[in-house]
Amino acid sequence: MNTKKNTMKNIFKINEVPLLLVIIVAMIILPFFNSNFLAFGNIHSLFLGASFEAIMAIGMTLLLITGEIDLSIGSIAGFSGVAVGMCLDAGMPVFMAIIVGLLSGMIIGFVNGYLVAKVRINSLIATLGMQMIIRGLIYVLTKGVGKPSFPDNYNIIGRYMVFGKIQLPIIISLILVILFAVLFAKSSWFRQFYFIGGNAESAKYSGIQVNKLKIVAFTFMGFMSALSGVLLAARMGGAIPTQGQNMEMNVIAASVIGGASTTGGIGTISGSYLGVIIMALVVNAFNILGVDIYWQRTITGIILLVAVLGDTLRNRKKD
Amino acid sequence: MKDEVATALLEVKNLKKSFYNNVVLNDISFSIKRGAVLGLIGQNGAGKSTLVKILTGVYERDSGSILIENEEVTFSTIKEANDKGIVLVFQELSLASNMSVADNIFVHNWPEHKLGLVNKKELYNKTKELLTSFNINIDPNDKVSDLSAGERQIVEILKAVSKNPKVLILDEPTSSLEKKEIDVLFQFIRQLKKEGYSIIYISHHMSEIFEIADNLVVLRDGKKVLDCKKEDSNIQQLINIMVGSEQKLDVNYSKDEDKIFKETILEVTELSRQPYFKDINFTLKKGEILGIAGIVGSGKQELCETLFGIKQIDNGSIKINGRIAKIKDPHMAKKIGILGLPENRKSQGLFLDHSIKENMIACILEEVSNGLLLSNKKINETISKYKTSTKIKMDDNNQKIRYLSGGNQQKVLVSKCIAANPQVLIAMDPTRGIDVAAKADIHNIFHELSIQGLSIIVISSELDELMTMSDRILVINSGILTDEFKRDEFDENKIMISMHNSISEVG
Repeated sequence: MNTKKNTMKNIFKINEVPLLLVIIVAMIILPFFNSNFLAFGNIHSLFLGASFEAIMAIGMTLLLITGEIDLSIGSIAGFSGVAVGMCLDAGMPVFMAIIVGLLSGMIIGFVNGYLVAKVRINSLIATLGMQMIIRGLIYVLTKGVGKPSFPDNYNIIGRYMVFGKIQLPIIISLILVILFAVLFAKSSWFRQFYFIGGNAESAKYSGIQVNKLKIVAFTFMGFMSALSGVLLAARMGGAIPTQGQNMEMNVIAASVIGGASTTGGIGTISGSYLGVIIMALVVNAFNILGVDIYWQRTITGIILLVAVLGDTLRNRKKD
Repeated sequence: MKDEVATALLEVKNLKKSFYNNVVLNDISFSIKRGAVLGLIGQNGAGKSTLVKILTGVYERDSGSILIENEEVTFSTIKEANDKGIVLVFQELSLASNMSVADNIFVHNWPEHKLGLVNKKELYNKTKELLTSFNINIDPNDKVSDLSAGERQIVEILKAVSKNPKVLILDEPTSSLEKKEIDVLFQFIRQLKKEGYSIIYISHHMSEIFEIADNLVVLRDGKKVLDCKKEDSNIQQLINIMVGSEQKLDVNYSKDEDKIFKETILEVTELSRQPYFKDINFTLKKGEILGIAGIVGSGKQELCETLFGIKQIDNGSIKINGRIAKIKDPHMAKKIGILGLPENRKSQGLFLDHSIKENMIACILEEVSNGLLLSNKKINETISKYKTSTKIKMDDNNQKIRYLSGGNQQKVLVSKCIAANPQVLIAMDPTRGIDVAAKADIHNIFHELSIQGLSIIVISSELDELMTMSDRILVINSGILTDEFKRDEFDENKIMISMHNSISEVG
């Protein structure tokens, strides 16, 4: 009896379990209100919507683990789309345009990392500044209109159906999530970021290259944001100037719902992915239930606070 | 005025304090006259800080009495002690560096307007008045962060003065000051004396005590062992009394005279980092434990930190195995086989919210992996190896390290470092704040490791510990290497004197 109780307790200690339960309960309840909920089309669109934020959440989780944050990722996603558009306008082949788009994100991420690790500007402020700079540049470079229409041979990457049924962005995001979930949990190299977030000073004394790895984490974040932006632009068939706006907040919220700690040292890719799915589920549920969509952000905010509250209470009990 | 100078302002009678069954202060009595400076001296653990804590209301005394101006006083909080006239001056830690000098000095009683807003003008004038009365050339509106360390220390004292105390306690006020600043500070302290403040001055620096104090009180093992006028003593005598006649060394003091050192591992030549140390030369042999002795601020700490890349050297070279090593950061130091065991295990050594397991592998992530991924098998092997050899008591590898005792935390820290298999371990105060049993364990671990060929450089705040552990002791004094003692020459008094002798400053 006692051991059984303990096993149950231990299962609940795994932070993914409550998240999965929330998703399962929603999956059980929602069909009662709208039988279309479990239809393939609806589930597919839920995952498709989530895939762009899921890709970014991988980078954000790494940063949160390191004890940093990045508010410029929405702007980077927007900028990479615009960069692709400009390359295509200049007659570059699609493949090259994508490379440039991804590179632009990595460079911005690198600059963020440099400002935080070397210049020692607080990451919240450094990346807030970067968010404004990059969003401003999008408007300046495109005279305020973005790059509204892309050729079909580019858009295919956002619309291609794998197995004739599943959109490519879903597959890409799932592959990346699984790959990095394993690496974050098991790889010795990624473990260093947990130590940095746990105690940067101790990490330094342990011979971990704190500053270098912080720059790497921001550059990785930049790459993931740009990848998301490139796919998003293909999906939309063009890069509107507001592409990616507010995504940083959703991605941070999803990662935190998924158990990543804003003070560093804690976080998993599986948790963050479930966080992304839960947030997508809220949007989806509101749509199919026909509830006023203006409630969406309020409910998401409540979920975020409840998730963090649960975490805080658990920690407080232990101390 | 002249009459007043003669009366005792503060009198302490038969003060006793014990923790559990451990007597830390035994029948302490002394007095200070108005306008006098009392130098309080004693080794770490002699009872100085307990005495200060009782005088400032942090601890309550078990028995005995404290009299101010012949009136018995009691207090049980810092605030009450302040109100009765005893104020401790902090070591510049209590200042808000973004605020002005005036704001800081009067932080606990800002002059107010009727509405409760701060009266800036009066605040400025009051501060100006205070500063001029002591001939101090600081503007009340200066930001504290723009002041020098010496000026900050003076502001710190003035902040205490603004509470209208009778007795000021200065605890190591010169620890972060340079020679010139110390002179200015002493000038200021003499002013305070003239104004009638009585001062208890605590310092490891004998020369300072002799310069500024009128009377001396020496504590040893919780007892007062000397109480005299400055003129009736000298540095030599003071150290003898402070150390005591009986040598408190462990039994294992001379257990392996037969260690033979051949191979040189580390060779340090003309190493300098201004203003901390200058032209340091020494070698370290394979399997040797080298102690570096010196008082706080002697430069021993900075010397150690440069050896594993936390701080950079200005000049000189470090050779390891005969090859010059450029050590830019701890990562490079680790690569060439030098690892530091930091002084503060909680903030520099461990990851408190991570498990024991995680902490143990922090330095050896690559070694416990198969290719890209961590190998649970290798991790568990490492943990069980060091868990036994360092006698760590734990129920579960996945326990957060925060919940272990200090001794066990320290053992995990030692394991974490030696797991990386360094050639040289720089151990900074490796037994700080842990109990006697854990201390002995760590001494034994170091001894075992040295026999297996690890070279260790150790600094410690306790000289007898250094003598227990080391095969050889170097003394660093004001940033200069002044003496070397081989194990058979160890003599606590001689080493102490060498640590405290005043020699000319670096540079």
